Amino acid sequence: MMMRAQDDDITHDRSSGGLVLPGDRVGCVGPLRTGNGVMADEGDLIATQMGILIRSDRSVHVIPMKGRYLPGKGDFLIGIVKDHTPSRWFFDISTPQGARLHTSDTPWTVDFGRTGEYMNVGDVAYLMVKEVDDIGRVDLTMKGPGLRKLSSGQVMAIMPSLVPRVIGRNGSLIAAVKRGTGCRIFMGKNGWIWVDGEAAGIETVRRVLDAVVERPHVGGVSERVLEILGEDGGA
Amino acid sequence: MATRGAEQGRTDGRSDDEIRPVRLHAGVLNNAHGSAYIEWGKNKIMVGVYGPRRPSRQEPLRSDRALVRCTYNMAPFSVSDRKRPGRDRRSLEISKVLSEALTNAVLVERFPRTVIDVNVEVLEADAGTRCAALTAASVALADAGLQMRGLVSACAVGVVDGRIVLDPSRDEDNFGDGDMPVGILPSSGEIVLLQMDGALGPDQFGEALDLGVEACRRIHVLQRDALFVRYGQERASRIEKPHFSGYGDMDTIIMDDEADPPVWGEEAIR
Repeated sequence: MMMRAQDDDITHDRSSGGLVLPGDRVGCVGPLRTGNGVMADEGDLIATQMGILIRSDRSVHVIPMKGRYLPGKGDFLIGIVKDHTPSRWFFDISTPQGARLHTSDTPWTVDFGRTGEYMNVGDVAYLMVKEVDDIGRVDLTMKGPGLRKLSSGQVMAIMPSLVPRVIGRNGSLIAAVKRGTGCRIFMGKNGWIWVDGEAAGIETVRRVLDAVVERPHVGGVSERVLEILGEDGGA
Repeated sequence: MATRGAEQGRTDGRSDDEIRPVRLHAGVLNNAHGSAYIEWGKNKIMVGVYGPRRPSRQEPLRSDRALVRCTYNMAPFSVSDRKRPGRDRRSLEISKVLSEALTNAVLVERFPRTVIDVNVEVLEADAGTRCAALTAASVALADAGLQMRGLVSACAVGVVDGRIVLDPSRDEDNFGDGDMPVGILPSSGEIVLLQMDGALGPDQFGEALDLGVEACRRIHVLQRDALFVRYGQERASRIEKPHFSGYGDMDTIIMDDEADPPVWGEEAIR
């Protein structure tokens, strides 16, 4: 039989760890908190994005397979200066719209018109999203622990959805990469990763990222990464 | 299941409620953010999606949501008489209805002040291109990772010699009494595309709509399969899908529990 009621197939509850598509029913409105990629629709929770469904006792969300980074308040990210005015810098943060940083949100005392002396086009910084307004404008801040302008080094890019995979549980994977390569690494939630260190170490980081990107949704990511670190042992 | 009108036969031997063979592939282009390719009978259509992104020059924008801009284009070689390249009345109309249908599917309010470009290239046309294009376009949007309320599935219904037939072929389209493209969001059952060319009575309309909606649900299974095959293929052994295999078991893929749940915090990030 080709035809079946809708309920039989497309709307049954999906289990955790499986691939869900937009429109899939992933639970009922109720005790579960909804996270990224899930919305309530007339009593049902439906997935709004293609990705891996993660369901716990308390919450349900989708780790997207693809898609652009959507900034959220409090996100730590890497930005590249695209332009500056007398009192602001405009950053590319891999979103459709870009973001801005006012001089008052930096640790420096910047005189009006002197923004270019502190950061110029092409400079990289580790920033936090201070505010996202209703029409999607993003305000950044550089005031906070660890936030700074990043000199030297290079920026690598991966899909934003893969950042948690690179970080690993409680940061275990990225800590192993830092230990193994001796590189300084800043992970941005927008999928941009700033790396600085010895050339061989940077090359190893690149191989690690390639290994994660190549087959991100298959088990054994950390084993593959540790293997690469082992091959380049003590690099 | 008894096939409707099998005794009368159709020009290509299908029963009245039979869809032409459909083959759908997701993620076929490397440079577009999302893409899909569909072969629906003799139709061959490629869809590429870009966005959400900032428009390249000063163009109308909505400050509260994204604009979905669909561009439907027929290649000069897509029909037996060479088609004059460029936009015409028909392609503008189809671009408009596809844009509106897809706007209802995408969560446009999540991407204010941006545009989402959907480029539909009809490589070969053989009746029913707008439904095939809409079906492929929604798969391409999902492939681009856009947030959507659901996939859009579409199928046309025609009236030939007073009989309601599903997915009219070119002859049935050209010489039939009317046709009606139907597009729905199968997850909610909402209708996002409904046009009618020709005269259908109230009874015929109801019957045609029911048939179209039910066909859309069948198409929806194909759309799901296309995305599962593209993204679940590490574990799914069903790379080549037979036409209309029905509702098979949806293979799921196993996720490494390394990053479950994702951790965000200063310690994790630095």
